[in-house]
Amino acid sequence: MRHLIVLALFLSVIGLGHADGIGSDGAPGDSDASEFGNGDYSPATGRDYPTRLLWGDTHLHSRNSADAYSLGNMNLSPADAYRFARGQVLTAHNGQKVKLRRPLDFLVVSDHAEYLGGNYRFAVNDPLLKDIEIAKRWREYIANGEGFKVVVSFVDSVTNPQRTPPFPKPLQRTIWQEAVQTADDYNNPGTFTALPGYEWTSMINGNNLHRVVIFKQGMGYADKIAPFTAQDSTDPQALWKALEDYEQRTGGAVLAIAHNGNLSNGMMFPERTVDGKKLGKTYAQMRTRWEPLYEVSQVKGDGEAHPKLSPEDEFADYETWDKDNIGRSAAKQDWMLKHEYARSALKLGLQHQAKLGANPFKFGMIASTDGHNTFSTTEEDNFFGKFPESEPSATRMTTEMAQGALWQNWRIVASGYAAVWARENTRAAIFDAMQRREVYGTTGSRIMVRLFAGWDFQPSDIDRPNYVDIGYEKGVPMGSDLPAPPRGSVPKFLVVAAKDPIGANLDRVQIIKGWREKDGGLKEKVYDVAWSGTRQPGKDGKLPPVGSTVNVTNASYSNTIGAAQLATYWQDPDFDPKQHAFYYVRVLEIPKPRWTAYDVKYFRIKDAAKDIPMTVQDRAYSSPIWYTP
Amino acid sequence: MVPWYRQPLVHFCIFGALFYAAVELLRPPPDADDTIRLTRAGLITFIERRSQIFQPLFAAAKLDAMSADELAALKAEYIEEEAMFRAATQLGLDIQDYVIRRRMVQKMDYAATGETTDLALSEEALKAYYTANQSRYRTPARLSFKHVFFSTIEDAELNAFGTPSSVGERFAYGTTFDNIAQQDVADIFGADFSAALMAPSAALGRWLGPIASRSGFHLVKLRQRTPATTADFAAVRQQVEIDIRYDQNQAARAEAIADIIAAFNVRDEF
Repeated sequence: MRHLIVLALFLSVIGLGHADGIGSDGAPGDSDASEFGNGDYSPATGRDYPTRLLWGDTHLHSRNSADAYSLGNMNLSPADAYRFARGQVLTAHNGQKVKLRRPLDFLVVSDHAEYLGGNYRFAVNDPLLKDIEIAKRWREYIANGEGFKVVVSFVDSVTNPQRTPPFPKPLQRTIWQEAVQTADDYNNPGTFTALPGYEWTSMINGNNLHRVVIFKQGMGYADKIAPFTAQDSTDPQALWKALEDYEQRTGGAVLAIAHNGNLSNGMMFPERTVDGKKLGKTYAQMRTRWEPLYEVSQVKGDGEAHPKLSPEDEFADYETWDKDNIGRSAAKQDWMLKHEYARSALKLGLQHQAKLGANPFKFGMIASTDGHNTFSTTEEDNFFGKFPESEPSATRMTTEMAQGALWQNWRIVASGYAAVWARENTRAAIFDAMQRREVYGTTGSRIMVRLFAGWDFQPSDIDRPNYVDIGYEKGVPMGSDLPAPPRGSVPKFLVVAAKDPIGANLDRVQIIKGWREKDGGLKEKVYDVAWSGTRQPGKDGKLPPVGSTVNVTNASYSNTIGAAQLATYWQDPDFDPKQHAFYYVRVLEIPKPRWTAYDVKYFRIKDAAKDIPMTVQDRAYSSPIWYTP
Repeated sequence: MVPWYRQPLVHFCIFGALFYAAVELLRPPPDADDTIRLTRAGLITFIERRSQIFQPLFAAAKLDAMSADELAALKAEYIEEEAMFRAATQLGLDIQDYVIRRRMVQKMDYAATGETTDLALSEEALKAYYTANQSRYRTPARLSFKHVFFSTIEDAELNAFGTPSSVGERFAYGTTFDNIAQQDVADIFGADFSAALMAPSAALGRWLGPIASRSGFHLVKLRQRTPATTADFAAVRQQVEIDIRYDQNQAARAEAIADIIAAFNVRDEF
């Protein structure tokens, strides 16, 4: 017995029911669609467009990630992650039971590729690791009482890959195959989709360049390779090459999604490649080919906009994390910001498009959690943090992430989810929607958003019950390019947003436009296009705030303000056909109590620090629609 | 018959043997409890932990660059932390702190439990499990319908004869729902609306209503109503197999924990 306790001390340093039909606007091949036709608008033909809104998390870790494991997630496997996402009850590390209010429709378990599954297998003496060089080193560390150096190996593997030997490729492949097989096991077409994935964890000089890699197929395809790791290369261009090789070798399909530009110290959307060359056309084409999406919001901060880049936008400072990089090795400087935030990157993309004829930053937007404790939770009153240490407890608001090595835990954002407009809940349908960018992100709420742009919409189209038919027929959905304009036309938009059916009402819908002026100047403007109540914009053009019903002490709010649905027809009043432009939608909810307020109430915390925010306005970000002259 | 090497118990014993071998390997040096040893390696580790920069070369360079005063201060801090930690451990503070207790329990949990993932399962075992755990294979009630939405009862009633002559008003969540779970209908339209569609009296294939929802009034044409049911064995065979394996792992874990508990005398003095 004594021995067991001694071991434990030593090791302590290693550290259903789905929304199939939501948002349907006519099933494909619906035979009696004409019943709705009464002659004053075009009858829908074919209706072969995505009608299902599916919710998922494309970025979640289990004990198979080195950092998750070393920070206490030692027991929860990818299988547990799928079970939780499908709506089952699990026991969290804090001893409490945890369950999602509504199951997810899809999930990507994206464990770090570097030493994938390694810490867990090492700790349970997996014979596979017996003769592996790095595992021998780890054993020596532990024998010398320096078990924490096992964790350091992982940090080294992503920052100084040459210092730590990787797992041999055959071992990597064996472990990866198990991850793919588990995804296959839990993939249930029509009900729940599990897409195989991993995270490539490049971290040059402590700057976050991480990408989640997602596979369209499982066994028979994805298992044919070993994951591409930061130990293979920390250069995103090498990752794209590896993805290209994978597709050529297997006939499968794969894509990558970057995240946390806010922790990249200017490297996420750079001027130059990792090896110092100016971005060229090949880089632009490769990046957009392999990275059609960007993860714009997650637990480590929101990355849509920054208040210094968008001083006119009073909602730009949302859950901002802008102190330093992910390695905490260098403080943030102002010049870095425009290379870190999505709105700015979309603008830089227009510049490249104009100069190179190709846009490296032409991405759709999704959000995901990046949870490391196996729980995809985003609801403010059901938020289980990032690592086991930030699961609900009376002290999580006063502690710091990674046992003091990283940021304050109260800064963690209960965000976000990926929304996908798909034809059905299958791997192929979800993957295809991601590739055509018909997806969007929310900071956790299941807000419904439809966006169409076209040249021929009429103001009355938005009031038609079949506005979706009209949207596809006369325009293009989010994530697309506007076709060439008829002479003298301006782009017109149909936007519909509806509140999370069991969530907060909506404050407003905004269209955010970015464009490139003739002299090369990059501009942006936020248009309020639909809002609740009888508010009118003031003299400064600003719509007054919606107000707040939040009672922080009770951690409660009511839907007595805001609107359940907002919809509008809008045309760009400032359109210039010679200017490159993009348009995306931002939907804001009314204020709600933030997870910190629920903590204060549940744990009866008396002395919460004044700088900890207690309210939040959750939001949705659509993928953009681009106009190219 | 499952071959011997695939028996869960065999796996567990092999794992146990490896585990105890590890315990022997990890036995701490026979340092007397009242001796605090200052070593170069120990101080380097201390610097790394304090600075949270886990680079031994960096820490070693920092150590070598220290003046005599700095070195003395570092040693004093090291001695203080070590002595305080050991004294706290002797007082049992580590197990009185609930956070530390939970973390130790988790570590023990993973250390004591292995996985049994490659057992062959017979068809009979799968069917028996399916029969014994039918509730796990329930599928929720689902509805397929289209509707025409009106915000006022007057407009809804005006159109409530035969096929609606009006296309109604825009309904943001959509006009046609295909195989949507009853709970999702309740979330979007309200529980009364979903109950009305689930009622056996709500006929399929013809226009019904107006039916009130939390948004207004709807003329509804039900295409399909699938009650909650238990999926056929064939449809969930793969799921059954996954569930058995998952349960086996959980059972092995419970067994391992029971073994640990068995080493103690539990006296219930409640």
